[in-house]
This record gives sequence, C-alpha cells and structure tokens, in this order.
Amino acid sequence: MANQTQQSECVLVIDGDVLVRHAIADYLRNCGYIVIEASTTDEARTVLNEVSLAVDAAICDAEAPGSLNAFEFRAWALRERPAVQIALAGNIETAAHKAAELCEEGPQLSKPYDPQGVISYIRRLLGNARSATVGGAA
Amino acid sequence: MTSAEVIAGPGDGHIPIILLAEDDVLVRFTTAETLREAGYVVLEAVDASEALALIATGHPLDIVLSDVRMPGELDGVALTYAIKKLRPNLPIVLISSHLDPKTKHVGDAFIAKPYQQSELLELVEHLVGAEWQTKRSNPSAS
Repeated sequence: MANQTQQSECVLVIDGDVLVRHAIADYLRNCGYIVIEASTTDEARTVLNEVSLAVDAAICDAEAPGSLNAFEFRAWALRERPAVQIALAGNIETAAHKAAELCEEGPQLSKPYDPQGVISYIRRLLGNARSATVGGAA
Repeated sequence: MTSAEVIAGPGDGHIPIILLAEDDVLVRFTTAETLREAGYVVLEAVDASEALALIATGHPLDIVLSDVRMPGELDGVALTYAIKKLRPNLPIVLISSHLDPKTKHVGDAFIAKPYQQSELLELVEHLVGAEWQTKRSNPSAS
C-alpha cells in the first residue's frame, strides 16, 4: 500500500460517475488530502477493510452502485468503522459542499475553497463528454 | 479551482498527466499515489468505459497505463485500440500478469506483473520524454 504521511488526512470518495468522482477527488487533493477513489460501495468496503489505509472521512454518492446501497453502506461503515465520518451526497452540489467543508477543516487552512468552482468544473466535464458522445468521438 | 483547469497543453512544460485504468481499487490507489508522489497528475478509471469517458472530456493526457484484464465490454487491449483511434499519438502502457506475445505488442510498451514501482516509474519517465525531466530538475529553465 502507498505510505500515508502522518500529517495527511485521508478521504474516500465513492461515486459511480468517473467525472464527478475525479473532480471531487481532485478538489480534495488540491487542499491537501490523500484521496482514495471508489466507484462502488464494494470497492469502498474493500478500502475500509484494508488495515494499512487510515481513512478519516468518506463522501458517498447517495446513488452509488454496489451490492450495498449508499444507506446500507453508511450503516455498515458506522458499525464496522465508527471513527470514519460518512457523508452522503444526493447530488453534485451537495458533494461539492461536503468537499468544501472538509477543505475548510483542513489539512491546509490557508486558502478559501469555493465549492462553486468544482460544480462548474464537473458541469464542463459532463458537457464535454456529452458533446463528444453525440459527435461520435467516444 | 482544480489542477485540471490550470494545466497547459502537452509539450508546454506542464506536469505530465497519466490516465490509469485498473479495476482493483487497492492496486489502483497504490499505483496512482506512487505516480503522484513522483510528481505526476493521475486520473483514475476503474474500467475501459470510465477511461473513455475521461478521454471524451478532452482532458489533456500524456500517457495511459492500463491493466489488460478488466471487467466490462472492453479489456485493456480493446481499450488500446479505441484510444488509438481517438488519440493516435498518446502512448499506452499495458500491464498484465499474463505475458501473451500478441498482447505485449498492442500498446507502446508492456510491463509484466508483478513489477517494482521503480520499474513503472522508469518506464513512465522514458515515455513522457526528456523535456519535462529537464524542467523538473531545473524549474527556472521553463
């Protein structure tokens, strides 16, 4: 496993949409967190069961795919990993605001983090991907 | 503001950007963090469809690292063919524990599992080119 520095806090981002997950994860990395990306609640449970990874918080899309739905996953995590803060996000805006709250708490407190920036970035990514799909690029 | 928004295009002395497609979450995280610690920007995809979704955004990329065996409609070999149609000059490294001679030559490079992280870093450094390496060791030159 990758070495986690003692100073860096670790956030698990769970979202089945790679564009949203990438943007939220990138945003959190820019404010100093180590971020683990999971596409399903099954991947998230694999991460939380890995003893070498000290996850401090998780942001989970309320519609994240997996054998457990997001609410079942949160119940599992509260039972099995009670020290991990689990936030459920019902949409992009909520996910961005949860990420911004984490950025305001640390680990780098020196600059403001505007959640609207990441929301705009996600919308641009989604727009570009849709245009490419319509145009037959991918 | 995200790092992706401020990155200049390829060849402009920007930090090289790697797209990593790997279905094992722990391997993906470990590999991505190793590359980030070495100074690269890494985009993570769990399978070929996610990799293609990221490529479809037009995000600048300098290299793709892909596992060969992945779930979904496309494995790493099919993903390589799809990417070559979209971005023919984008170097692709295939990673597999199964050394199939046909697979080995589909991408621009092949690395066999298990591998040392130093082997992967050496290969990536080779593929992203000497220009960025020079700028990284001497930032005032850029």
